[in-house]
Amino acid sequence: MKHIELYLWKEWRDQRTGIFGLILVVPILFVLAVLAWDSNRVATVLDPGLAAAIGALTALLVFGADLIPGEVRRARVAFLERLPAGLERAFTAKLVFFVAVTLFAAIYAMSVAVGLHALQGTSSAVPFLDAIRGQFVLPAIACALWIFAVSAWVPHGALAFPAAAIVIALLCSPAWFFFGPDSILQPTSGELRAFCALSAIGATVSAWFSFVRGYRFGRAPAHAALLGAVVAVLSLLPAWSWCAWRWHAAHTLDPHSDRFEISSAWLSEDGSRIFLNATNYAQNTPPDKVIWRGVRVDLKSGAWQSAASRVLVAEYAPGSASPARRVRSMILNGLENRIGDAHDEMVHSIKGSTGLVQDRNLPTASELGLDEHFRIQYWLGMGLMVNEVGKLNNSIFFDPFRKRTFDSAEIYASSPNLDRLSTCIRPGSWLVPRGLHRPREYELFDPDTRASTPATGWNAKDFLGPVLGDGRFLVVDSDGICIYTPETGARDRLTVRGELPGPVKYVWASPWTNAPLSRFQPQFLSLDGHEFETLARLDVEHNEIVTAHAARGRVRLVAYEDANTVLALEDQRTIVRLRFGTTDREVVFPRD
Amino acid sequence: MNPVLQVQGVSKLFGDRAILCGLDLELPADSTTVLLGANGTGKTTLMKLVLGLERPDSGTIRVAGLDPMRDASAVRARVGFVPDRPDVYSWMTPRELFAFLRPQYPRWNRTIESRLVERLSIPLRTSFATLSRGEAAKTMLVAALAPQPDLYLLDEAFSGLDPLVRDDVLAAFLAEIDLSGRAALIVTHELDLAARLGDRIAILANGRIAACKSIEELCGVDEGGGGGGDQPRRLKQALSDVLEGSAA
Repeated sequence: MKHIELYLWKEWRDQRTGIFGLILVVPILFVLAVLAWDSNRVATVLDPGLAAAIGALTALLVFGADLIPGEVRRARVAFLERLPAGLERAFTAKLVFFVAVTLFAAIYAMSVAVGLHALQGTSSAVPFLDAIRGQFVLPAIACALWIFAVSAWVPHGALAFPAAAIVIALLCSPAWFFFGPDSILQPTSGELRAFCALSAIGATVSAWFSFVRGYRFGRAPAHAALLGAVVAVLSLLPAWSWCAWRWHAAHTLDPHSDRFEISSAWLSEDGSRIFLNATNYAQNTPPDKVIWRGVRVDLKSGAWQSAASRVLVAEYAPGSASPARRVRSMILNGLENRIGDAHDEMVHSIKGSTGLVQDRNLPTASELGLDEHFRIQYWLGMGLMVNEVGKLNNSIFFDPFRKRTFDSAEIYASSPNLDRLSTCIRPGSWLVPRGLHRPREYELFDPDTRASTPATGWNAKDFLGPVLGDGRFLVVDSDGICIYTPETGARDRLTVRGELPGPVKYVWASPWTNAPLSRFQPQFLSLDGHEFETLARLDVEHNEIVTAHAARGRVRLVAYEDANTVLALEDQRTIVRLRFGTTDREVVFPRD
Repeated sequence: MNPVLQVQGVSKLFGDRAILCGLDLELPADSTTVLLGANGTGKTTLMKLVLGLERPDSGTIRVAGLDPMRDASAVRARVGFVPDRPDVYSWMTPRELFAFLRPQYPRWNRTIESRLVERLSIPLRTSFATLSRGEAAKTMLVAALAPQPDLYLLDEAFSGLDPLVRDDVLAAFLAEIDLSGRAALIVTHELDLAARLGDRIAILANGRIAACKSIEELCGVDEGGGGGGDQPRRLKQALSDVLEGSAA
C-alpha cells in the first residue's frame, strides 16, 4: 500500500482536533457521571463493555460519519483525485483511519472506566466481552461499516445516521425474517457470522465504489449514492438468495428432504388415506415455530397433497372400543376442525398447539358411577386418577374393581417412600414403585388396609411393562419377555415369533394412549432393544408375541388394517406397512 | 519527436451542451502554448480531460504517450498542475503540502523546491488558511514545478495577483521552467501575459482550436520595430479576428 502512510497522516492532521477533544471529553463525562449519579447507575455506565461501546459510538458519530462527506463539503475531492495516488489511496486511508480511531476510542473509553473504578476502589466485575455481548460485536461492526458506507452517499455526515438506518432496514430486510420475534427461521451462528461478514464486505465495497468511482470526474453525492446503492444491493444478493431459499425450504414440503419430519398420522375412516402432519423443519427453528402441514396420502397410489396448515384430530385410538379407523369431526378449543373424506379442506388451522388430545378412551364419571363433580384425569394402570371440580391439588384414585375412590394423600400417608403417582391400580392389590429412580422395587399395596408387601420374585433389573386385563404384567427380564404375577412371582414365558435382532430391553403398550392394554384388541406392543425397535402383537392365549420388521430407529403404530397388518411411522419420516410374523416392509409414504 | 500532449478529435458534452467538439491540439516538446478563449469555452474542461479528471465523450488524449483514463496515476505523476485557486486543505502549511506530495512524484526535485521557496519567500509554517493569495499561488507553483513534470498545466495561475507579486511569480516560473523535452499549456485571459509566456498561441472557440500559431504568425512581424510592448494589442486584434472568423 504505497503512500498509505501519507494519507493516514493527512487524516490524522485533518481529524486530530476532534481526537484531542474526544480524549478530553470522555473522562470529563465519566467523572461527571460519577459525581452526579448514584453508585448503581455509575456502575452501569462504567461497565467496561458499555464504556467501550460509548467510546466507539462517539468515534462513529464524530469521525466515521464525516470522513467522506467532509471532503465533499470542503470541495477537496478534486484535489485528492488529481494526485498520482488518486482517490483509491485516500479511501483506503480513510477506512483504516476509521477502524483505528473507532478501536482507539473504544479502548480509551474502556480504560478510563477501568481507571475510574480503580480510583473509586471498586472493581469492574463485568468482563469486557461476555458471551451475550460478544454476539453483538459482529452486527455492530457491520452496522458501523454501513454507516461509513452510507456517509459517502450524503453531502453531510449528520445525515449519515438516519440514512444508514433506512439503508440497513431496506438492504437487510430479508434478515428480519430471521431475527423477527415471530421468525420461524432462527439463524445459526454460522449464518449470522456469514451474514455479518457479507454485510461488512458489502458495506466496504459499496463505500469504495461510492467514493472512488462515484465522486470521480467531479460528480455529485447523488451519483455516489446511486453507485454505492447498486453495489450494496449486488453484494447482499447472496444473503437475499439464501434467505429466500430458507424461506422456501421452510414453506415447501419435500418428503425426500433430509429435513422432512412427520409428527403424527391417522388412517381415514375407509382405510384408503392417511392424514399426517409433516414439516421440512428449518435448521435452528424453535419447536413452537415449526410449520406443520397437513398431508393427505392416498394409500393405493401414494399420491399426496399438502394443505396450508396442520391436521388436528381430537380422538383416535386404533383398536379402541370406538371404531378403530376413525377420523371424525369434532369441536376443539371452540373451533371446528373437520377432517374426513367428505371434505377437501381436510384441515382447519387452530390457534395454539393443541395436537392430539390426550386419551379419549377415558370413561366418563357417570360411566364409572361417580358424581358429576368428579373429573376423570388419566389412567393409573387399570384404574383412574380423578379429582373433584373446584378443588385444587387433590389426587383421588378410582379403583374400578372396588368401585370406590381413595384419597391418595391419605392412604399413602404412612408410606412416604412409595411413588404414589405411578400407582398401577389392578384387581386385588395395587402395584406401586418404591422410590422415584431406577432400578425400581415394587410393593403390593392394599388400599383398604394400607398395608404393603414387596412384589414377590421381583428383580430390580427387570423392566415392568403394561398391565394385562387379569392384573398380571408383561415384564422383560434377563431371559426375555414373560407374564409376571406379583403376588406369586410366577413368570409365564412368552415365545417370540418373527424377527428380533437382539435382546429386548423394554416393552410398552403400542398405542401410546396410557390406556390399559386390555382395552385394545388386537393388543399391539412396542419392543425396544439396544439398537432396534419393533412392533409386535401380543397373543396371550398362545403365550406368544409376534413381531414385525425391526427398525434401527423409532417405530410408532399409526393404525392397523387387520390383525396381521399395521401402518407404522418409522424414524418420524416414513409411513410403512408391516406384517406380523414376517419381515415385510412396504413403504407407503413417501414413495420413490 | 513525439508530442508531449496529443489531443485528437476530443468532444465533451455536459448534458445537451457541447463544450468541446472534435478538438485537436498537439503540444510539441520544448514549447509553451498559451490557450486563449472566452469564458465557458472549455479551457478548464480541456485541462481536466488531460489530467483524467473528466472522461471525453469521444476522441483520444495522450500525455507522453499515456492515456489519462487508463494510466491515470502515471499521467498525473507526469503533469504539474496549477489550479486557478489553491485547492488544498486550509490547515496545510506549504511544508506539509510538499511533504504530502513529494513521495507521490518520483521526479520531485528538492533542490528546485528549496530554491523556489527561498526565491519566492514562501512561509513554510503558515497554513493556507492564513497565507495571502500571492503566497498561496507561489506555493502551488512550487508544487507544480518541483516534480519536474513532462507537461505543465497552468489554469489561470497568475490571475488575481497584484502586479508586483505576479511579476515575481512569473519571473520565478520562467527561470525554473525546464522545457527540454517538456511542454507547457497555460490558460490565461491576460494577453500581456500570453505574449510574454507563450511561443505559441492556441485559440479555443466553438469547442475547437480555431487557431494555433506562433505569436509571430498570429500577430504578424513587428516591422515598425515597435517592440514587444505592442504585442498584446496586436494579439487582442488577432484574437478578435479569429473569434469573429470562427463565429462566421
